[in-house]
Amino acid sequence: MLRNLLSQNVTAVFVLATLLGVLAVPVSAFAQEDTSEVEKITLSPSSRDLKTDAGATVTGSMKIINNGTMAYDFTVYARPYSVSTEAYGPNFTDQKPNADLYKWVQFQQTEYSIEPGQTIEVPYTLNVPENAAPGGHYGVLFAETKEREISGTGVARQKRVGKIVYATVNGEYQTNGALKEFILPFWQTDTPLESSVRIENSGNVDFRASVSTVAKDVFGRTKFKYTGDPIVLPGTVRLAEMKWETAPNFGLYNVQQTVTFLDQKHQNSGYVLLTPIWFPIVLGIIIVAGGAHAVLQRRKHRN
Amino acid sequence: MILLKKQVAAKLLIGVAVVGGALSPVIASAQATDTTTVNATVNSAISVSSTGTVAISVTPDADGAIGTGTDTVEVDSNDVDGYTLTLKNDADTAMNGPDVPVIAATTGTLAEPTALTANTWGFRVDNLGTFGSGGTSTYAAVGATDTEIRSTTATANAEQTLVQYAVNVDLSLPDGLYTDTVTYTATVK
Repeated sequence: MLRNLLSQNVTAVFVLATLLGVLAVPVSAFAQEDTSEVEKITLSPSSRDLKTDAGATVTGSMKIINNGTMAYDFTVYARPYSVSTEAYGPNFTDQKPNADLYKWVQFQQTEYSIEPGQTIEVPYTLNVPENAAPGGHYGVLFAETKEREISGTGVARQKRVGKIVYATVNGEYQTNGALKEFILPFWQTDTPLESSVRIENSGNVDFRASVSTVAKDVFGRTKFKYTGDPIVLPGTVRLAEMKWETAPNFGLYNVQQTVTFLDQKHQNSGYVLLTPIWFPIVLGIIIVAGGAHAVLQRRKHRN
Repeated sequence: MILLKKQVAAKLLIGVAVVGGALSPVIASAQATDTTTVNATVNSAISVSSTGTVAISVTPDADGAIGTGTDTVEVDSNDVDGYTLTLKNDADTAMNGPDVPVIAATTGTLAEPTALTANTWGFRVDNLGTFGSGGTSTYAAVGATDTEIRSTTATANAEQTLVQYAVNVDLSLPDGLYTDTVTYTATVK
């Protein structure tokens, strides 16, 4: 009886200590973010495709929307646009020959103030040079908030949103593209389910590709469908990813990939086995253990 | 006689019916149908937001003490090909204060983040590059060119990226306010 009493007390102390350890909050030097005010800048439309002639003047506008809770000032300006990687990481500084559209841009007004809930239409003009080369020219139009003063040590933030302009100057230009490869690994050990395609543009003008992935289970039911229309810039290879972010951790799927661009259509299909990395190891151990057990049993019966 | 009366009554009834039918308004119910196509144009849009300020309070000691602040950056985009969120500094990457010296940018990079040495500052985003997840010990400099901190391949609805900033200061740094300005950029792909 005494032992039981002691055992219960030890258990109670252990549970209490565990709870205290879980609930204890470590002290560290950090500052909480003030979440009472939201500074938000929205730009629409986020891109523009256009065809024009050398020497022409093209007008347009973009909407800047303040759907936050703070008023702010913003400026508009243009910068070069190109990409640095196949995943199309943007580059707003390198002045490549076809990233020169920013030089054509003219804003009537570059400084604005906007209140919460307000929308401002920002007009711009593209003055296409007389000697603009036929083919693609690219740039980005930015709307950037002005930094706010902060009262203590810390980091002040500016935010900017960009409208990418894809312009084609009429004349003799080349459109040329090729499928580099479909990417669809059979055995994938983690979500998302990876499905992608690499498309090359060897011409001097951009084109849009239409890509899709459809994943079906072993019963033929469609479990995932993705469609996109990525743009492929001249002189680049674009990796168009079609990930299934919410795929289950385990499953066997029949996946069909399709890509269409210019006058080409390409398709690929295959099975994808989604399992954790430990699954084949465990399966192998079970098989070996089962086989060894069967051999031992046979020997036993013979004897 | 009765039969005659009945015949007359029947004829009268028929006559009334015919006259009534003739005098009743004729409703011309010829129906015409037409179809209208309703088109809705949904424009593309992209937005970026953050809340409040990123203030860092730190009490230094001789060996250096670390203070951190976290920024929650939200992006909305209805472009099905996704968006890119970048972070950059201006040409001066140090945190400037009331006097020289300053809090210099860490030598760590996205490819090789490092622990902060005394009187340096940097940023980290969990699971970005080689930062790893959950740890708070390695940081990279906010450089003068755009560094990608988030890249997606689908539409985004209030998608958050947590950016943590940290400073390490020792007693050789004068007290006061030290600040730097960074820029977040969101563009579609």
